[in-house]
Amino acid sequence: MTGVQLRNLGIRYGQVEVLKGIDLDIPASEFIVLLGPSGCGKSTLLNAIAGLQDVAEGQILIGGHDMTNVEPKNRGIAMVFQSYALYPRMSVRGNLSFGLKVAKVAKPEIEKRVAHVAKMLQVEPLLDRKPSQLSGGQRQRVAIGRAVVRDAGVFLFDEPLSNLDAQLRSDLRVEIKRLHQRLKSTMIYVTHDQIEAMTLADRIVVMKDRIIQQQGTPDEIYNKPANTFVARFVGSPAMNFLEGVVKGGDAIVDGENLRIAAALSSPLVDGRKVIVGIRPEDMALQADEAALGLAVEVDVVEPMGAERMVWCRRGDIGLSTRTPSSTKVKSGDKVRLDLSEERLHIFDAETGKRL
Amino acid sequence: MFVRSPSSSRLQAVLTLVPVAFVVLSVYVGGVLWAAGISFTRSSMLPNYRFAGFAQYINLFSNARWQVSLGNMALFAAIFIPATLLIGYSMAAMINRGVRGENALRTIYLYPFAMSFIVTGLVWRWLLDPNFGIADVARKLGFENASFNWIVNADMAIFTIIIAAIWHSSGLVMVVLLAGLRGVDDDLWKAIRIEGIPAWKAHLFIIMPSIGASIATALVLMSLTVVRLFDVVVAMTGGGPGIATDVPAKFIIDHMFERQQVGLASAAATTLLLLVLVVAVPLLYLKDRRKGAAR
Repeated sequence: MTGVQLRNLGIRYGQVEVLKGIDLDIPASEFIVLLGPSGCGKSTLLNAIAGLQDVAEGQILIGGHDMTNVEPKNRGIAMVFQSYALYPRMSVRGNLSFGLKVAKVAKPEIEKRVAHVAKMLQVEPLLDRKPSQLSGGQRQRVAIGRAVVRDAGVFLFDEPLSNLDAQLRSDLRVEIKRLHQRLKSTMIYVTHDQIEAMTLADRIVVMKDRIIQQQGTPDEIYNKPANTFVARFVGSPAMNFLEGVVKGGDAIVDGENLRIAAALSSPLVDGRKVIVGIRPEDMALQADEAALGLAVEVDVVEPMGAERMVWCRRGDIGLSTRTPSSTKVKSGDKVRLDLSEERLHIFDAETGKRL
Repeated sequence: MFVRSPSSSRLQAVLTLVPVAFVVLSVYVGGVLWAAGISFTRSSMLPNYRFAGFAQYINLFSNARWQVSLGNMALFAAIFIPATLLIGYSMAAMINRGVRGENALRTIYLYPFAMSFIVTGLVWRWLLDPNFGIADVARKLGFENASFNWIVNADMAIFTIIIAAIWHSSGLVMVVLLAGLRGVDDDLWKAIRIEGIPAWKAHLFIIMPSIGASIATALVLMSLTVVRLFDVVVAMTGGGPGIATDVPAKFIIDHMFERQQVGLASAAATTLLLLVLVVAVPLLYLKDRRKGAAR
């Protein structure tokens, strides 16, 4: 089993610093997801691990060996791409076996591995077809198969599901998770889709502006976001933010007292500006105007089957919440939102960091 | 469809195309059919319509000069097409790797094609002249026994024409193939590097097959050069020494206008047309099919 370590990694395009001082420790067999908006450097980081991107400074260790300047083919890695990158005029069988043939693997061994992988990924009936005769989902299965036959210790996925439609995406997501459970290889997966990150990862690394913002289990990322960026990026719809000022241990938001002590490890001094975050599912909508909570007006109601998203307004402040479908509200209703105190997230208004 | 009535827009289209269609039909198709007809007559100095069956064709294929011409064209095609494709592809692949000064290099490589084939022929004629060309420079540099006389050697002269033609066309082929290479997905190159596929195998088995349409285009262009081969021959060797570098197009023009054997020339032209069809039709078909399968 192969772990991957990045030590103080820096990448430059000419004079432009693309990544700087990246330290990351990926234990063997872990499924790690690099999550971030486009342009955050996550794909560059993946390419550097693959050896497709020159490194200006720092070290890449794979399986304990320094691989910083080793050719991609000798790094013991396999990679799956967003655009599948299948060899266009070769059959599926050719695609699966070509790399092994080039690497001079014995013929019976190649046949054994191809048959095994084809069965695992359910592409056996497609073995003699050309990529142009396959659907997107089938192509990506074949591309994954081509990575698996390499018998590599580390799998790299570069947004593999982004070109697929929603149904196929969730099917293949499960497939990839199953694959990880079976192979127990180290997997490094790049995506901008927070749902993929949450469902697949053992550990998520959230990146933005070429910097690692936070790393942790999906649970930690979701429940203890390190800053307002992570809080907003992960979760759908995004976390609600309210600006407030600390007074007597509470936060004063738009004239209302919010008890924030339960969400804090140590009390804050009066007058400090904070941002109070709350996820849509962590507040209860009370149709009774006289109930406790923040008085708001219903703006838009989105029915989603089992539940409804209710978008509320209070002056300039917008707040979204989930309610069961049984809650009957309509646009224009005056309602109250009861925020659960221990589910609040308090951030510094200046730095955006969690307090 | 548009709101406008389909019949009126159709009429407009037809009217616009009539003059072109008329010219194409009367000049090209008509001319071809007329020449084919003449090739079955006894026409000599002037066309006449006395039917002669295949007599002109029998004459043609027993004509030593025509045999040499066809042989030269075959040899030319056999060397020119693969060599130009190889050189053009290599240049395109090099430029595609993102070398510095790409635009300058592209211009330099394409430059020979901007020249008339006549000029190309003259330049190479001087370069290869045994008395004044490269051989002379070599002698002046101290290699006193240097001699390079292919251009006046009946066995070797055709190769000098092939060299000049390769020089002339490689740049064009490069541009056509470079356009194809630019369309190759970056991820494909990455996959090739990850799997450690050696460069020549990657090009031969993965990249070239994925730019099939561009290669077919280049092949069509080169085939046309082969069939039309005339001006560079006239400029470099005039078909000589003797008839050593004669080619079909030159044979046809000479017999049509100088030797006044219109019937024989027409038979040769018709034969050439059939050869073109045999080569070009499958290529065009291939190109269309590739385009269809590309997505």
